[in-house]
Formats: sequence, C-alpha cells, structure tokens
Amino acid sequence: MSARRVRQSWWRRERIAILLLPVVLVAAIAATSSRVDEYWWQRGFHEQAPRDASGVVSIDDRYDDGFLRYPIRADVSLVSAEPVTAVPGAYKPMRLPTGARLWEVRLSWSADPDVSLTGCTIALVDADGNRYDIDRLSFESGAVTTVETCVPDETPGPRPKPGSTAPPATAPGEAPRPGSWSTRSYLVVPEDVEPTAVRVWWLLPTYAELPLD
Amino acid sequence: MRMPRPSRSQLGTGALVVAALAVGQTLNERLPDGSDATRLFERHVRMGQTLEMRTGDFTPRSVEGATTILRSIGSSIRSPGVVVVLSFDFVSRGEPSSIRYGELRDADGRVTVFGPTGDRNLVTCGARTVGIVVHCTAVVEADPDTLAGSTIALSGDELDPRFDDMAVVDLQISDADVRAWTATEDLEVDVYEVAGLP
Repeated sequence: MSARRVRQSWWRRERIAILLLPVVLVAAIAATSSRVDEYWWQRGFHEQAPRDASGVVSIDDRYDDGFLRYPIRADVSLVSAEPVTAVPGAYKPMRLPTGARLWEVRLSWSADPDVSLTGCTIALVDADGNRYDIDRLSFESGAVTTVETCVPDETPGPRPKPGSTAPPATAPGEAPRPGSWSTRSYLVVPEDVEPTAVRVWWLLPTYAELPLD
Repeated sequence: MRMPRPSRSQLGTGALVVAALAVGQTLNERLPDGSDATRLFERHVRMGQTLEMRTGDFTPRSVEGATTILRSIGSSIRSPGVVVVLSFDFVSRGEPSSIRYGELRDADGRVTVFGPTGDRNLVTCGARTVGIVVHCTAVVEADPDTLAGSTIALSGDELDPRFDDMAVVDLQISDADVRAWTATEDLEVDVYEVAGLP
C-alpha cells in the first residue's frame, strides 16, 4: 500500500474523532471557565434592562446570597439631569472639589410597595465610558442630604435585616412606600465632562441605562 | 519468550507520549508557581513623578516624620519609634478607585503591612471621583534604626491586591532625616482631602 493511501485511510478511519475534536476543545474550555462568571460576568455591566419607547426602564433583578433571596423590580425613568450651583434647603454654601461641577439627577420611580429597593447605586457615564458614582464624601452640600438613593427616605419600604435570612420587611410603625415616587441625587463630575447617560444598578451584571437627551 | 517487535506506528505513538510528558514537565518547572504568578506588578516611582497605574494616576508628593502626629481626622499617634507620613495624590481613571493597601519595607527587609482601617498605621485616600485629584496619606510607624533607605509600596485593593499595579516609592530617607524626625513632635497631618475642600 502506498504512503498516500495509508494517509488517506487514516483520515477516513479517524474522521469522527477529528470532527469531534473542536467540540471537545470547546467543552473542555467551558468546563474550566467558572472564573469567567465570577471574575468578569458578575463584576461588570453586562445585562442592560429593557427600555420602552417612552424611556421607562424595567429593572428585574434579584438578590441571592444562597441564604436569602428576594426580587428587585422597579420601573425608572429620567426626569432631568443638569448641573446645579446649590442643593435645595442649603443652610450654608456648597463646596465642591477644584475643577468639578455638581449634577442633579431626578428620577421617577414606580414599584410594588412590597419589593425591597434599598441599596442601589446611581452614576453618570460619559461617551468614553468613564463612570462618576454618587459619593457623599466628594463634596459639601451645605444641606441635609438623603440617606437612601432610589427610595424615599421617610418611606423606603421593605429592607433586609443584616445577618438575617428573614425576608425584607418594612420597619414597625413606618408607612408603606407609595406605588410611585421621585428621587433627586447629586453627583460630582469634572467640569470638562459632559455625561451622556445615567446608570442605575443594585447587583451586577444587571443595570439600567437612561440616556441624557 | 521472544518479545514482539513494535511497529513503526507504535514506536511513533510512544515517542509522542514521551515528548508530551517532557513538554509538560518542562512547563511545570519553568512556569512561575501560584504565589509568584499572582504577584503584583511593582512599578518604581520617585517623589514628584506621576505613575500611571491601571486604576489611576499616582503622584508621591512628600515624606515627613515625627515621634508624635496630630491627625485632622481620627486619633493622633505617639510612637516609641518614628511615624512616617507619605503624602501623595491620586486621580481615579475610568471608574471610581482608591489606594487602600500599603507596605513599609525597611532597610532590614522587614515589611509592615497596613490598610484603610485601624488606629495607627493607615492609608487614607477618601473620595474617589474619576478625574478629581485626591490628596492622600500613608501613615506608618517605623523603627528609626532601619528607617533610612526604606520604601513604601502602595496599591488599590487591601483584600485582594494580586495581579494589579503596585507603586513602590523610594522615600529617600537619610540618617540625618531620621535623627531630625526623632526630635520632632506634634506633626500635623491632613488625613485626606478632596482637592478644593478643607
């Protein structure tokens, strides 16, 4: 038998194994990729919540630490986002870092009063992807600022109890959160930056993006 | 009993197996082990120079020392040795970040690790707005006998500093500096401030 015929018969004999080789390689890589989920997927903004034609974003996320699980569901839309020179109710002048502006972000919310919505984060993002998070230590407002970011301070609704597996509950004596409400947040941004969107999230990778018009 | 003579194909397979084992063994010996592979990327920077770290720009400004320091926020320190205060600026890039892990490496090779919490040795680098200069401090007690020639190494994450950039600052401390600092008391230290704020 000639060498060429031997080679041809080898390819024919092993054709199934050769065809399966890429599949096996993909399966092997997938089987060793748990860190992709832990170190990349769960630490980045990868799942953008849907936004309808009227600009309302429906967030459907969930908290799950293996012991406590509860849904995080809300509709949010952007009312306004603009630079301001003072915070309402200020009793002394505002103080900002050198080279910075203060932006006020007003959001409109609606959600089931039984859903826990504490612990969210708001940021402004620019066209280059830079993120400017809300940070109460980054300026002196000169006013009493809210504790909560995405729910009313007086009626934040259900909150999880730290260290407990009990479902989130409204504090005794506290009124339930209304079905809809609005929030105002203040963020420090360098003065030469023009933000392009407001970003809201609880637990990554899910987030809401609200473009500035 | 006579051993059967292997075919060319069997010999080839055996040679491939031996070659694969040799390659595996060589890789195992040559590649860095776990702790070495996850080491920080140490990058040296001199006082006044700006180092572009992965998470932001780091600029060491000055180093001072005294036996007692008075902090603008938090408790003050009286030390039987010397308290070293490294002042530096940090500007986050891309997303909010900070400097939260430090090591004082003295002339004897001893390493004092410190972070953002505690009463005495502290790295404090407050607000983290992208693009805004933050004035930060690294405060650490040191043995005056081995302080000259020390470096301070700083990086972002105190819980898991692996893989990331670490700025290594040559403090350029001389024996004369140490003598002067052991005679200095009540050094006032601004723990941190955002540029433009008191």
